[in-house]
Amino acid sequence: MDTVNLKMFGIPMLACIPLLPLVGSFLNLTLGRRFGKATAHSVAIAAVGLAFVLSAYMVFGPLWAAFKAGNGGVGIEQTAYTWIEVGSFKAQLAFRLDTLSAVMILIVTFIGSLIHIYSTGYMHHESDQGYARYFGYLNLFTGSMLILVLAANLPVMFIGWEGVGLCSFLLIGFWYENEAYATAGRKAFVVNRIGDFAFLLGMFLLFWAVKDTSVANNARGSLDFANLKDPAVGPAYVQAFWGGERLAAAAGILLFIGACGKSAQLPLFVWLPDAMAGPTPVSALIHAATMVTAGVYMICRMSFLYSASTTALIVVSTVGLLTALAAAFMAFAQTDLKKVLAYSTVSQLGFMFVAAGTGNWVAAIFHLGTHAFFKACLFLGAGSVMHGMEAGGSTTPGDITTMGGLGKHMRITQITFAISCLAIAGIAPFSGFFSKDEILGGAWHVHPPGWPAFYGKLLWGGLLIAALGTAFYMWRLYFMVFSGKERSEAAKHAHESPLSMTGVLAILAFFATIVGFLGLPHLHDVHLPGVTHGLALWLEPSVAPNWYMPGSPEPMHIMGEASNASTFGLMAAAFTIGLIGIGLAYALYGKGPTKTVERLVEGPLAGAYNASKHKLWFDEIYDAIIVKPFKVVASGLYNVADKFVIDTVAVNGVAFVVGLFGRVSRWFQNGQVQRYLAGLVVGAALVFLVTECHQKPSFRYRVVGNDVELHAEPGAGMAGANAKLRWDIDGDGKPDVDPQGKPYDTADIKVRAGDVGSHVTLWIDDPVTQKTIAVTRAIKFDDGAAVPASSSSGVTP
Amino acid sequence: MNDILFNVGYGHFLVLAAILFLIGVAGVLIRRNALIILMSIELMLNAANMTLLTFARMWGGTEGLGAHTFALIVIGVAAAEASVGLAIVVAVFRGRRSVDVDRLTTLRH
Repeated sequence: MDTVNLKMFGIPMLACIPLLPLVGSFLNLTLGRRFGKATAHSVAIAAVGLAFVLSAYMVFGPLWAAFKAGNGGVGIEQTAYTWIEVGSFKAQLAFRLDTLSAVMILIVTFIGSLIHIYSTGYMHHESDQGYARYFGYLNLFTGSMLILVLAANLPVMFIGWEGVGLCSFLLIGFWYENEAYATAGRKAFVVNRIGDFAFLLGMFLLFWAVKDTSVANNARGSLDFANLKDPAVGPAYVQAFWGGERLAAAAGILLFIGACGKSAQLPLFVWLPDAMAGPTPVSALIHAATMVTAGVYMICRMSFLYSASTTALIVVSTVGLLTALAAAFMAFAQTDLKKVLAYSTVSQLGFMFVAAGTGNWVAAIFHLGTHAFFKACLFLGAGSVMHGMEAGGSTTPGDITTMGGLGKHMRITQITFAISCLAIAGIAPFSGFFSKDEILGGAWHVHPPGWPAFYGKLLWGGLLIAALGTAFYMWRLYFMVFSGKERSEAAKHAHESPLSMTGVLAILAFFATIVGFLGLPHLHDVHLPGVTHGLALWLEPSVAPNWYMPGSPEPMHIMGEASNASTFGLMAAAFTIGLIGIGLAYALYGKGPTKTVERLVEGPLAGAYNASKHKLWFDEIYDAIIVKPFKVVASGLYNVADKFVIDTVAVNGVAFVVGLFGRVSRWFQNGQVQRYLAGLVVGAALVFLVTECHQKPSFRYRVVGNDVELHAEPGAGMAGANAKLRWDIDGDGKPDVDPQGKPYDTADIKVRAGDVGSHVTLWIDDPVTQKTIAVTRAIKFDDGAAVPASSSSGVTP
Repeated sequence: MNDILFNVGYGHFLVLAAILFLIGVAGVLIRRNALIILMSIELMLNAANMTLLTFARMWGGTEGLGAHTFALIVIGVAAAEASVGLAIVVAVFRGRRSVDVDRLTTLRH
């Protein structure tokens, strides 16, 4: 099949996938005021739904064929047009569908469609205008995210990267009348900008590294992924950079800082808990299922770069581990339903980064996918709970201390929530178990060259603790919400949500249960059906299989070998840990918070409880060391640079100078003809002053070889032009004649040097005054050099 | 002494013309009465005529009367200009009972 030229409406098919939601967004954001609710959500859902259909067609049609033919990693590339071409830099608006981006677009469009449908139920209290705006933003987000994942080069990826950041900002601050929500949106934006800046730097560094490397198809532009992963570029990544470290380390770490911002990793995670200010479906789509996983996707996309630097990987995995632990810790003491889920998202993203940081790309994407399902289901379940609580009359619908016993009022929500909690806690056979197990197993087995041998085990141990925490706080949340007795009036009157919401929950819970079977671990001598390793087989062509080790005789495979015993052993450990966490949660919260909890929180664990509640005082620390100094600098700049330099000196100063000129010119530009005439007279006098009128009559001479050239300057004007001239050449005091017997009477004469005496005299008869002026000058012959004009001159009347 | 009184040359005529011209300029610039300004303009025109005739004598000798004719034309034009100017002054005076140019500011802005 001719895949490159697949088009729809004359637009490359791949470009249509992000274009559809963008068009939907355009319609809703421009014409939304005139739309009713039904039109607004129909447009939005149709746009995303069509994008999903198109994605599915592209993946299961052309890409499947390419995959079967062994070209899954090459995939399909389509170029819409050349975007930038400057010197050796070229960026095209090009899209790339390989097996990696295929997974992402399916997740984004599928979960995106479900969340659009769910939103029709969740947002139906919103005003018509807000409703259209909401769906416009949601579509804009979907389009940007699809650009991000389908991008064929880093600049296009960056468009999507910024686009999703923008939508995140817009949707967090969706209810911008609330000051705190607007601030949360701003915080997300600013923190993301920090990461984006590093991302840009990483991009520049890569461009600098590879700009001189020629690869097979340079027409694509040097930041094209297909070019970047060309083997010919490899040496550029391993060239020495800082202190003998490979360039890939610097570029990888810079890109990873960008991922830290987008994917809420330490130390840039602070925006995500606040981002819960947005509508709950937004939290589900953007801040759990898709956008925040962009960093993980980016690292897998750049796996060829990261496989060339174990230093970058150690940074990635360490940050991932610390984030997983810290966020799990912070989730313990939260009392807001969505905040707990937010921290669990941060923590799960940490898991994914550990996977990516151990070169376990498949596990990272696997967990990304399963997490997208169960976390979307959890968030939407939370939305359903809050919806019910609000209907029951609660003013703080997210506060879990006022809940309890909701299970009997909201059966479907409870069941789906329980399934997702089992999945995230890592209980077999739910999806989270398999993906988390892949990450843990990968950390245990993988030995990137140059890492200390124990480091993988350390990661494994750390993650196990984080997994214990996950199981505990998720089930604490579950019991607090659904079990025991109702702890408020509102909880007693809560009711189940409409079908548009519960139906979506059921679909997501179904997938949260089964998607794990796409990635069962490989076992020795046990042959499971191909589909159970589907994800690994599918992704294999798109990610780097080997450590980049130039000079090593054997390619070093990233995935280590695992025996059946160790595979099952690790599985059992993870499973047990999950059960322990759930058991602990049941013991403490099974029928609502017990007295034990109260005693522990007020007694031995008070310090830890406070630290968790205040998220380890990250916000306070940032406030003290960044925000406050920044505000001081800003107010200083405002007072000095803005108010003084710009307002006083620049603006008022310019006005003052102009005014000064105005006042001066007003004196003679006063409309009185006489003033203008005075100016004319003064001007004319100045013109005469600078002309030669006032010069004294004289002459110049120049020795040229054997001749002397004489040039009379009788003065300017009519008198000078009509003066009669006589020359005394030989210095005898009488006017001379030339060899033909004619008197010298012109201004320019040329005589032989031998004829010239020691002095030459010029007589000028002034016709006006009728006087004769005599000018006498001594003539010097110094090697033919020009003699300055004013050496000596005399004027006699 | 003798020179100045009896040996009158071109230079004397030119200097006289310059003096007349400057008196005219000063009159135009300094005086506020429209009539005096018109008179000063006449003075300048005559100064110009004088230089014209002096130079004609210097370069052309007594032959050719181009410059002289030109001077006569200037006198004619000056007379016409003076009559128009005076008419304007009279008209202004009738309207405003004053010919002070500093107060004729209606068209200023």
